[in-house]
Amino acid sequence: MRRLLDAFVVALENLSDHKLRTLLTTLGMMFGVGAVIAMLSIGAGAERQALALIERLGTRNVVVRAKTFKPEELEEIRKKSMGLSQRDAEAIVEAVPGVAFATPRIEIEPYKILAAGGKTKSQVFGVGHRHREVTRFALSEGRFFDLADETHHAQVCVIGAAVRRELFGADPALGRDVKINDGWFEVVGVLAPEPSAATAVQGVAVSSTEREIYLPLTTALRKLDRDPLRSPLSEIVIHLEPNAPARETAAVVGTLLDRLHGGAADYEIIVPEALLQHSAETQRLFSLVMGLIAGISLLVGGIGIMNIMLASVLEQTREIGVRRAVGARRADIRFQFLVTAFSLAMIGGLLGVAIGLGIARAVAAYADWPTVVTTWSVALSLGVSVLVGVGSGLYPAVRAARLDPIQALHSE
Amino acid sequence: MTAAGPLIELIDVTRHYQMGDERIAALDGIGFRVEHGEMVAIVGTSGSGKSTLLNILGCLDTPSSGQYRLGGRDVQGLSDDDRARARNRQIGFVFQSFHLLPRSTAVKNVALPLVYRGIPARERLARARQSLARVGLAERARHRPNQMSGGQRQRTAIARALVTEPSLLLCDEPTGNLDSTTGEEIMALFHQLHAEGKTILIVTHEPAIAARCPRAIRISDGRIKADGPGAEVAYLTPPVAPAAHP
Ligand SMILES: Nc1ncnc2c1ncn2[C@@H]1O[C@H](COP(=O)(O)OP(=O)(O)OP(=O)(O)O)[C@@H](O)[C@H]1O
Ligand SMILES: [Mg+2]
Repeated sequence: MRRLLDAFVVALENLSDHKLRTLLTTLGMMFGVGAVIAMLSIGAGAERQALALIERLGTRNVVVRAKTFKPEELEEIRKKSMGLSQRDAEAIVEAVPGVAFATPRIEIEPYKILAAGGKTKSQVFGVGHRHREVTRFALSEGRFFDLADETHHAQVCVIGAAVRRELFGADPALGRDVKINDGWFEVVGVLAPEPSAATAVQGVAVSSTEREIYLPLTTALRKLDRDPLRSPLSEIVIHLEPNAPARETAAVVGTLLDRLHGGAADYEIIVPEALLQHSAETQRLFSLVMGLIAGISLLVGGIGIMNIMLASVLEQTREIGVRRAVGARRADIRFQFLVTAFSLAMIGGLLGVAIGLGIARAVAAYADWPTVVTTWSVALSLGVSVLVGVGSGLYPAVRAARLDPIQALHSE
Repeated sequence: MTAAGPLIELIDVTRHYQMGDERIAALDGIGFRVEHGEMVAIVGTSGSGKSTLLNILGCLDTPSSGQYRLGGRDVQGLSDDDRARARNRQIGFVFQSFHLLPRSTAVKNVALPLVYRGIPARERLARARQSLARVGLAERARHRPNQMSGGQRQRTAIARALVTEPSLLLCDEPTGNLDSTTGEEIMALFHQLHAEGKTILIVTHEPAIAARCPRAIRISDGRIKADGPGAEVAYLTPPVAPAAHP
């Protein structure tokens, strides 16, 4: 223990005698470690976000979404198929094995949303009352609408957290009315706030509920106008039975819809479970490439350390001779050089961690990109850099220890 | 040392160097004894084998053949680590060119041998200061070698040799890099240490120095040519070639 401490003191004295050289030597290590930590943090951030978004789609769901077309294309399509409809939903539940239920969703184009307290912009959806079961809606106030609301075309709505804030501020919202286009709707529930804004995974749009308003499907169809050429439903969320395979079920749904729509490809089928696997594969590839880059830069850092250690064996030959003459064993000399190499790598590694944390923060702050610095990425890159450092110090240390003390003493 | 018998016993020691086809006998059958507390000068022309002998005595080198006993113990059979330990515990070296670590202060230089004994830093420095005081350099503890005169550097080196309380001081031309006045002072220090009971071997070119040692050994071509009171051996004319230094 004392020997280690002494060796560290000597190593740090040596290194601080050549501050610039130490800094330049550790530069490779520094940027290697920094880059690894920063890149892994970006990768982990992206993965975490993708997972959250896929979770929101629901891994036990298969989503059929109506495609949007240019007006001239739309007319052509409508000659073959009327678009996604309630009939499709019923057929799917009836004919496809493994489907528990299917719940429809339409999208309204609101041109006006206001309440006594103010106005706002938001997406507006009409959904079936079972919609709550297929998503992870969390309510902070009130309730979601139910079958009774749907059958009675109740003029009720559930609003997102941001919508609530802008329309009612700190005032109570439940029981108040919101005007959407030309209809009035009573607020019966408020959704819990969500951290991240709307975005997309692998090209599939996934929205945040912050700026959304939900109405019963039936109410929305009756009270709010929609373009008659548009598909009757915007989306059908198919909830699977516990053991039903997602991909296979989606394939059967595809065949069925193809027949029902007369071959018109006016819908797309999204399988969140497949997205999840895809995301994991992307992440694995990303990690592999990162690992490679990290390996190369750490190797370069290691070569830098070996180079400087060999130079200092030459430089300190006389000193080695003196130490041997006063009683240092070969092992003492070897140990000293190893500890010095270790210190170099550690300095580079620690500075690299600082740089990596800095980059990760900067990316999160300025590029608005979520980054997650994981403990294991810090531990891994530090560990590898120290291993590389000690590994590259090994040969110089052995050389230093092998020196003949008499010749070392007489070297100039 | 409490052990009875001589401190140093060399029996027919040789040291060969293989240079290509040629075999150089730097030492060619050396045998002598040194008792505890002796002060011995080793003289001889350049290349006669004085440094080679000193390196063997100091366990830095091993004989090609023959026997070397230090304090009654055979040195031949010792491992590299054991020889390092012997250098650390029993021997103090003083070199012509001081061999101090240039970036360390005097006190740290003096403390260096204690590092390899696993002594705590605080105690090392305390003992180093005592040792510096013993050679009259208490005031210079925090100076680096380049902030000291040649004489002070050599005193520092002597303090380093003394700090482990070795049984044997080995000095290879300790006054070789010093002017004569400073050399005198260093020799006075060695005489004082001798008076205190230290065993000291000094390799020197200067007959005047050897003459004042109680005993001197003259070496030529790796053999002992004379061994006796310093005053008698010092001014012997070498039989073949004239002395390198008048
Ligand atoms: N490493 C070596 N390889 C080959 N020959 C050597 C080596 N070291 C010493 N010698 C030879 O051994 C002989 C004795 O050398 P040594 O250094 O002991 O002489 P010295 O008496 O100390 O001389 P000086 O007074 O000049 O210091 C010389 O002939 C020298 O050339
Ligand atoms: Mg010599």
